[in-house]
Amino acid sequence: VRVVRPLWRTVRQWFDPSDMRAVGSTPDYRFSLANERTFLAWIRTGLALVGGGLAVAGFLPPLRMTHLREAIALVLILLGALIGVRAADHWARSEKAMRLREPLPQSRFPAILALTLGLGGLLLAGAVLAGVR
Amino acid sequence: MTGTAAGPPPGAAPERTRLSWRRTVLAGTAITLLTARLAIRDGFAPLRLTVGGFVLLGWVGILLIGRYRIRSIGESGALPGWVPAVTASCLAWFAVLGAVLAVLP
Repeated sequence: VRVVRPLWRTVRQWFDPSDMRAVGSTPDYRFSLANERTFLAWIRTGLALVGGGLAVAGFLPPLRMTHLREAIALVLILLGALIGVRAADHWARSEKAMRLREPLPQSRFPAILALTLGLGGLLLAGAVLAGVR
Repeated sequence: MTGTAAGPPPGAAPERTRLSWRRTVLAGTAITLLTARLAIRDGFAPLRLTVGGFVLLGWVGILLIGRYRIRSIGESGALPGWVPAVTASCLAWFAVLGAVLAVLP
């Protein structure tokens, strides 16, 4: 319960952010729009990963290693969904920080995502070179 | 720069945000088509077609949000707080359907 309640409050705040509007003062609208565009860029990044997963599942022939194709597709698709959820959360936290004139939230997420994608890419390139099917 | 000290350059930020929404809706459309393609990968199985059909909900969702936002951006500039959550939900919806279609025999 101790974990669930703050989590539920966070999720509820995403859809009904009236609490958020109550704090601080409205920032310059250009900053808000920049925050919105950053959010949209993350959404498109998520869409691109989901699209990559759909392409793997839809266009690759079944691989000889059982369920390898499905596994690659699932990892990409779930990563895309994760990026979307995190984008909404990060947008809300940035908006709140701007209203309170606090520093923008720091995040390790971009670095972790970049490392994950880089390693995944290398792994797949290695698999292709090694002739794994 | 043509902007004065009192105001920002007119149009630049709202215009860029509108275009950003258009790109996002376009990307959502591409995902919809990819999902449809995945649904009919092995012929026209009723179950896969049904699951694939639900992708239209996500597409209409992102289409409507994009339309709403593109129209409302010039008026106040403020983004209603539910918009990001619903947009992310559309992405999650695409992901769920894609995952189901990927593992469905």
